[in-house]
Amino acid sequence: MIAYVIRRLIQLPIILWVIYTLTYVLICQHPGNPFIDDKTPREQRALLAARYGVVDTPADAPWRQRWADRGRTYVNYLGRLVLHGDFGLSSQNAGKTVGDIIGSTLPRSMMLGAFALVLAVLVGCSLGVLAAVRSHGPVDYFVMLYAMLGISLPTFVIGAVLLSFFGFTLGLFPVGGWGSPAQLVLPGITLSLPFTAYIARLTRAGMMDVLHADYIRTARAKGLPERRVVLKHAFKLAFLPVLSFLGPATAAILTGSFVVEKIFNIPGIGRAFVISVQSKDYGLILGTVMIYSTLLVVANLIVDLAYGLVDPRIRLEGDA
Amino acid sequence: MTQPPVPSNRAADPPKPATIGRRSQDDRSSPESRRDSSQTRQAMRRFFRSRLVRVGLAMLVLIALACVAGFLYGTSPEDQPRYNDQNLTRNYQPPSRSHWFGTDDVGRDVLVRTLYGGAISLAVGMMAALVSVAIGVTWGAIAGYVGGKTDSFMMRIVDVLYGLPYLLLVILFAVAFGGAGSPVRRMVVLFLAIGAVSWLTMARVVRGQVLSLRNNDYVLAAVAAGASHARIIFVHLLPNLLGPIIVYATLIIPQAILQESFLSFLSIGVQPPAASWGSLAADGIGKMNPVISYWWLTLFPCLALALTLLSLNLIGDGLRDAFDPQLREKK
Repeated sequence: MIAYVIRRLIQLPIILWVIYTLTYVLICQHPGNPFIDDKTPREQRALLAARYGVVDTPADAPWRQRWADRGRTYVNYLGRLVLHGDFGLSSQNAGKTVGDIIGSTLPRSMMLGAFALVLAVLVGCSLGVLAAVRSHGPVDYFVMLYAMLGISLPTFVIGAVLLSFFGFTLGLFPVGGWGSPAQLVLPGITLSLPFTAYIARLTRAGMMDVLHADYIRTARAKGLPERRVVLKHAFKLAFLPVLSFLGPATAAILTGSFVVEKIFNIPGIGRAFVISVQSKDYGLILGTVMIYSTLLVVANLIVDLAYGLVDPRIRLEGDA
Repeated sequence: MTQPPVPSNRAADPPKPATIGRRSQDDRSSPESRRDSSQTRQAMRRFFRSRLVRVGLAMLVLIALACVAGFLYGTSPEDQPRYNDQNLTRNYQPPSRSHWFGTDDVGRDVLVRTLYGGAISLAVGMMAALVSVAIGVTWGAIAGYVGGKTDSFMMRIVDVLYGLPYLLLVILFAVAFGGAGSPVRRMVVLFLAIGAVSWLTMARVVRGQVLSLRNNDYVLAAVAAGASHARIIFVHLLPNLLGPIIVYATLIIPQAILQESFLSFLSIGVQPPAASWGSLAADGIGKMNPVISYWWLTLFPCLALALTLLSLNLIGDGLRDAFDPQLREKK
């Protein structure tokens, strides 16, 4: 177990470095330059380049020099990040550092994502267990229909329906913005629905499997109340597939929030990323990609470790 | 669920010793492939028996035909294509007899735009699925066939990729290579990018199957007869995996369409005046306000997208259940 954890921890910075480099290379392919165009006077270009830590290349430079300069900029950026944990300035938000922007937008997205994830696990597991216990009945059909819809409908369709019905027609919840708990309800539900659906399916399938196992029959035979058999004995095993889904789910919820943040006008990090890509704010792109990747890689590690703890039958690789 | 299990006695038959020499003709009539075809036929029968599958197929065919017709109608005549035929005197009209789905902010017919956008969405989704099948099958087959250290290295890469924020990379990729290009170039970049990130499950499935098949006697016979590795993989192993490959490919298509609509919704994919279901929905939602809801702008593209994804998922699930009786009994 310890050897496995250590190996995964060593892997972590390598993966992050690969992502950083890949992102940088992709950014270099973006057409155009974020803050320097050919009309900018030479002195101003030099000042701008120094301020943003970029090695400036004249527009008519040969490709070899262009890439050499990009390489030097890359080393500048990476050095600054590793030594000081600093992503530098955001080129499209005057006077703000990337750190400031991430610091103010990330908590909002995290809160939204956490709310959606908790909601999805709670509702999804309950629905799945209900459907399995009453399998092939009306409850089961309803849950499965709901799950099919939840998996098929894109987030923005669900969001549009909720927005127009509960927001505009009934006026029950605010239609956008950020700050009050009521503003969390619609985006949270929108974001969680597909995951609720998928978790309900996983739980149902797991429960159907487990409910026919011998140890469940034993538990029933020794006279345990049905509620205890289902919730304690069966659910514990049926939850395993859900647990392993939580890693990818975290990823999908993080990126799913791009769309939800756009529909409900939430100033979160997803919006910051999309805007930074469209406005070629290289510092902010690198910053947001690295934050996302770090969150994800760590979440996956936690899920894998939790898996080993919950199910002692699973021996992690390198654990021999 | 009441389906009798597939007779498995055929599988236990000792495979006929492979005749050396006229291999490619003999393959078709070898017991392996005969068993496979009868299994496939049974699976297809199970597949078409499900009512949900038939509903899904009918819906999909209808939508696809309508989209193709709408695309042909919408892109002609060439100098003034109808999908972008603006008329500011009749903007924001609710659905009526002359405009079944209403008109948008510059007076374009929403029905024509929905069908035209649908054709683009479907095309990008299918091309992306093809790309991901090509990558996934090749990757998985090589890993499973070579085995050993190569296998564990290749699969470790897949594990790592599973945990990446791939949508971010797709966005960066799409902007980097399609940002300033022509509409066609943007579409190609879009489906390449989506295909490049959705092959992971396919690779795992194929690798597992190849791993279990490669020690069969007929593979040994092929090796003994001097067949090349590529020939063994593509002629002897992959045809046996057609079932699972088709099943997972069908499940990839809705995912790919969904991703395309995501990107277009974020205005990173298809750019105006071209349209896809995602960008149409984004336009509609952007125009929602408490005073007047231009509901037809949002409803029709969203409905078309939702019905398409629903029918594709129904078909995919039906195929999976039909080809995998074991899974079916569990359900």
